[in-house]
Amino acid sequence: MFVLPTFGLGVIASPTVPASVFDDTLTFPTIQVFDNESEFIDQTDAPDYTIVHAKDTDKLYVWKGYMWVVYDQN
Amino acid sequence: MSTLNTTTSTTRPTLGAGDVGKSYFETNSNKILVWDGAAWNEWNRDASIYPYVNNNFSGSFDGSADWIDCNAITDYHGASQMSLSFWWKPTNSGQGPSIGYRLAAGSDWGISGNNVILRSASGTDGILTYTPPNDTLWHHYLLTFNAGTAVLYIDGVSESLSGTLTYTTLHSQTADFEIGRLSTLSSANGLFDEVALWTAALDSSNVSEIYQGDPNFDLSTDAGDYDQSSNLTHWWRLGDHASDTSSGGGAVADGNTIGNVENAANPGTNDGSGTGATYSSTVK
Repeated sequence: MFVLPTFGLGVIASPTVPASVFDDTLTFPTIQVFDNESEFIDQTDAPDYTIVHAKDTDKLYVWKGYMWVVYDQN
Repeated sequence: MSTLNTTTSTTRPTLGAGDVGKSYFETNSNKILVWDGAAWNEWNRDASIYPYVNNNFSGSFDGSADWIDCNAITDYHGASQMSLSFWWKPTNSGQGPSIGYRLAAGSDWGISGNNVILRSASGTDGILTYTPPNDTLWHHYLLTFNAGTAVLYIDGVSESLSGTLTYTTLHSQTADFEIGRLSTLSSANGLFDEVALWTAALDSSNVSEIYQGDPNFDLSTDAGDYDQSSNLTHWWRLGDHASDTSSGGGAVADGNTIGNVENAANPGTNDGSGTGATYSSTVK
């Protein structure tokens, strides 16, 4: 990251770079992303409680063993 | 494949400040939970999709002489238990549905506007009042009757019923069950979908599962908290069952007059015959 230097009278100041707010020690399983809901919505063989995302609907889906539970972005 | 851990609303784990970000799927409420270090953040379900049940049509009733006649249903003559389920979208805010069995005043059971009716004789005994939702959205209605106790669930929540009910069985004589009117008492103005009857009083867990499943819930198969498929006697899908037809025998299409709507729970028995009502592609 390029940081503009700051100047004081006769002193070169050291810029303070804030620490990232994101904790890089945490990991989360990558959610499978489909281009279209139609690619998976008729499938019944997903492991129970699989969570996926569809780009065409912008929705999350959880497979409950017999149905997809759907979550909108709201 | 990414899968969520599961919990229920009564067994949510006790987490601490070091558990930030732990996520669960709550199986009885269908919520996604994320622990923020002090409390659960909850994402509510917005819809449900069954891969093997299509729901593309509903039935439209104009409030004047539109109905579907399903003939006499002997399973419920004098019965001590019954559940009636359907989805309803009124044309005007605050309007209740019209549906049920009616031989004459005092020999009727069903829902008429803002009244639940469960009578075996004329009079006010068996007329219970409730307040329909004040909007024009789709709502799930499920009425249970169990030896003199009536419960009306709307969207999975038990509603307040005012009035007196002393009858412990349904009326025992022969009359037709009709979708869209309670004989000459009232006519529905709105959309019906997925009308079903059981010879048992469904409990709140079953009701919640059906409501959470949306109109494409497969009532013929036990799943989740739903375990009453064996008591399902009638299920009219209003355009989505294989043998449903338009008037004259043609294929189902938006705007066509309803011809035959098959009882998906027992085809050939109590198939419904439409009068005036039309198919609509407006579904929840």
